[in-house]
Amino acid sequence: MSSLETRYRRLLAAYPRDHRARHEEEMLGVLLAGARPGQTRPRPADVADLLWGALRVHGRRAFGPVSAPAWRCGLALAVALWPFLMLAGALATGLLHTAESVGNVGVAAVARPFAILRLAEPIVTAALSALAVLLGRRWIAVLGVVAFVLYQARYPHLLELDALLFPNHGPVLLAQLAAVAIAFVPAAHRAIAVVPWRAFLLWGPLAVAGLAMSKAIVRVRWVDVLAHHVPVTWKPVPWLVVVGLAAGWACGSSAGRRAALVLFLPAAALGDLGDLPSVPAATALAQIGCAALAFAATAALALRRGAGR
Amino acid sequence: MRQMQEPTFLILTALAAGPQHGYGVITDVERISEGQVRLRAGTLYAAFDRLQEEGLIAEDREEIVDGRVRRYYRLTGDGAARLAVEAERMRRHARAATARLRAIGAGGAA
Repeated sequence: MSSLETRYRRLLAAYPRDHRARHEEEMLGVLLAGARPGQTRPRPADVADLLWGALRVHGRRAFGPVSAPAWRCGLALAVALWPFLMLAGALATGLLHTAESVGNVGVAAVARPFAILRLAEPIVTAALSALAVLLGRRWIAVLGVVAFVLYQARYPHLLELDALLFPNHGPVLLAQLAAVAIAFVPAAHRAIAVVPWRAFLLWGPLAVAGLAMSKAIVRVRWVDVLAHHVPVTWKPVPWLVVVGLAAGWACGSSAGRRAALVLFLPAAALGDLGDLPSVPAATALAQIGCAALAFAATAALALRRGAGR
Repeated sequence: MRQMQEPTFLILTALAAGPQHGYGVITDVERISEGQVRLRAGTLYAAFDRLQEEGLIAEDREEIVDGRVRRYYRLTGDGAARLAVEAERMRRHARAATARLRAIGAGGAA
């Protein structure tokens, strides 16, 4: 094999695997046929053209009309994973609450047992929706609605307009409502069925641990959030950790990769689930921007698919 | 219908003469365009990828030359129809441009 061929092969490695399997030899034949006698290095114009070609082929695979089924699967999987993200958030927050008041838990369990129950309420609500999606049982979804209504009834002020418009509450309530509603969607159960159990068992605890640790940085007074606003600016980061972890197993499939991509912006928009008393204006704006981008991307995708039919 | 880009038009024109392999298309396109367009492998195979997906071209046959696969591509019925539409569109535009240039006394013979 000549050094020119070796160098061309290295460049062709930038193409998708299936394209390489089908066309690599053929492209090499074309490239070598067009080479000057004694040429040992690819011409810069050929290098640029091959890399640009690889980018276009990758782009078509990822976003072209041929990718429509994978995007549909990815979107369905992203929707189905939403209740699990909410459950991971509730579990992480519950862990932190428990850690903060670990000394008082024993006393509270005897003196105020309802306080312990209250700690479990958001977890139970989120778990019911996730379980309904996992098992495809509508009656569990109904229980989720009952738990959600009972939980919200305890804090009626959260449903007031002022509270809803506050960046820490409105998006959180919307996210919780979405999870409760998704539990009724049969397509969500079908989509989640593609995720193997061992993936759930591995990435679920990792996601909760990652989320809890990220939240802890700005929660458990390791950082004085009132004195140092900088960590608070990174409020969406904990959720991005979860999406990143989800991408860990998701990258094994084209639908999974797309689901992680679809979840990225809503997760960033969700921020830190209203754990902090206030957020700086820049953070709130960034979160609203993420939500707007997610909406625009979904609308554009839907319009494009509609036009493509 | 979206306007066809020049390399695509020239590739389909090259294949309208009969099935050709990649390097054959490159040399034919250069000849058709009188040396104005020189396709490179990256552009050509990205276009082949897209045109096959759109059903405008198809693989015809393959042969082994010097131990390497040489694949031939041909124009499909849809590809011929699309090329005819594009050629007609270009002819119409060229006719309009020529007529207007003639009216102001510029341009050569139509």
